[in-house]
Amino acid sequence: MVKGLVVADWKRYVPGFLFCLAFAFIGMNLDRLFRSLSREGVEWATFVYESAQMNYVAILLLGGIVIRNFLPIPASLLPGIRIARPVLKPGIIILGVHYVWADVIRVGGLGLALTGFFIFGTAIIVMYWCKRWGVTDGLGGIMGAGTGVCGVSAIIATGPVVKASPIEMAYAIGTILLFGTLMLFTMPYIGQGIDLSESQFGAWAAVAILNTAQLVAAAEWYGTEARDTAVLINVARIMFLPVVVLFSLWFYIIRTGKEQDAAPISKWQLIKDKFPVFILGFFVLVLLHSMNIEALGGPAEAGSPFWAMNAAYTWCFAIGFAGIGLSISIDDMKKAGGRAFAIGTVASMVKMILGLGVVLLIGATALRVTGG
Amino acid sequence: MRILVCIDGEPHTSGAVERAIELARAESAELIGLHVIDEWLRQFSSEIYAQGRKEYLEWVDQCLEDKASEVRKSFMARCHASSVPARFVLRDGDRAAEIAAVIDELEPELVITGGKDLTRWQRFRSANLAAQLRKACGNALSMETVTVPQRRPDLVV
Repeated sequence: MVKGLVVADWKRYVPGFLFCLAFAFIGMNLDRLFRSLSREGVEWATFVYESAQMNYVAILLLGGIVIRNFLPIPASLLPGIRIARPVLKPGIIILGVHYVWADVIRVGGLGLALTGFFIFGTAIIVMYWCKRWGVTDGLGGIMGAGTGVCGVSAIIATGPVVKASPIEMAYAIGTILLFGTLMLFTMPYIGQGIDLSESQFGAWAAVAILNTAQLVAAAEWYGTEARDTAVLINVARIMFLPVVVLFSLWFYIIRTGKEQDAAPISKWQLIKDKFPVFILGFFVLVLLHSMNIEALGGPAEAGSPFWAMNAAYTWCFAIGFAGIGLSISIDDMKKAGGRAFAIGTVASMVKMILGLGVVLLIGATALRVTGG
Repeated sequence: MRILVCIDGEPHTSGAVERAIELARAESAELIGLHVIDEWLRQFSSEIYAQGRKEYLEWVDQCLEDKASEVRKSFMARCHASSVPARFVLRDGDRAAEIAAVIDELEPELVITGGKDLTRWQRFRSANLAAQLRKACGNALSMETVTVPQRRPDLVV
């Protein structure tokens, strides 16, 4: 039975994953070193840690990019590096211990309204204009979903539904990765430049950054309050994924009568297949934290189960960020092009500017997660 | 003599096939067509929030296999029409690495790849297969790149 649970070719994942673990360990310890030297008043360390914001997120992302693109990485490491990215997911589930239901209802409700507006606004406008410009249904569908919901993950969920061709998916993925990476490295500095509060930055990142991995990284880089707001709104955002896939199905297949030519599609099955089940784990932890169970303690209560989980989340994030940094390849981003690039440019710029305006209007207090 | 021609199914490799057939006929050489199924898209099935991974992989594989079968059919038909003895090799994986492996295995005297007439920006964005192969196989490799000028659609079959 145990054998059945193990992937047949698991050995090919080991070297790359171990490499990510070691890289995450180095990144975390460099963060600790810079922080302690900065507190002791060492000038260069203060510059690196405070002014240049070189915390573990930046070290792992920038270091990963340098290693991936400028050093000869053996091909045997790549499969393990790829599976390190989703380790971020258990980290997001564990982050549930940072919230209480009041946060979920207030910030999550606001986030639901915000993301609902931006997701459907982007998806509908992109798909409508793509139709008008004569862009193929495949490319229009994946760009609408990709720029609207959660980037590459949305392209993967929508691609087979709208029958996007491999070349269209390559263009779209390249474009999303390019803009996601550009936003990851520019938005935190813009936020600092205009003195944006952490909670507002978290909401802005959750609304504007096209790809999930880069969104979580940018928010964690900006600060813990930014991360808490961004993760909660992001959870609200990905709940819309099955709805957007269903919308694409209706827009390109059902509405145009193409369903009759293709194999029948069960809408209920589609919703079930595309629903991100892991967020239920996140809500279970929010519920447990809200119930204030003494035996579980809290994330700030040393020695308690929730405190231990909180420590584990940082490692999940560090391994995930190591995987993300080591996966950012300039060659992949070079695939951005054609009409996908034009659509991506317009959608990301509009979302970035409009999103900033909206979070400035809402203000910091309404977007702040209190954690009880 | 053995000639290897790399075909990705895009219009510019059509010029390479044309040139390979011409040379094979002149030299009475054996012509080998090689198509590599590009695995690049598969890696994204491990994206953080990817839902419907299996469906995505099945769709990508089906599209790539359909394309490979189309490339094979078209290549064999053109060779047959020109009465050039040919065979077709299909590989799966990283393009440059797989081509290098086939060169190592079959030891062709000549390798022909297609190429586009690129602007400076396009050259930056290009994967530059010819340069990758030279790096992988060394300069001893006799390789020809057939460039299809973008303003010469008559060369695109």
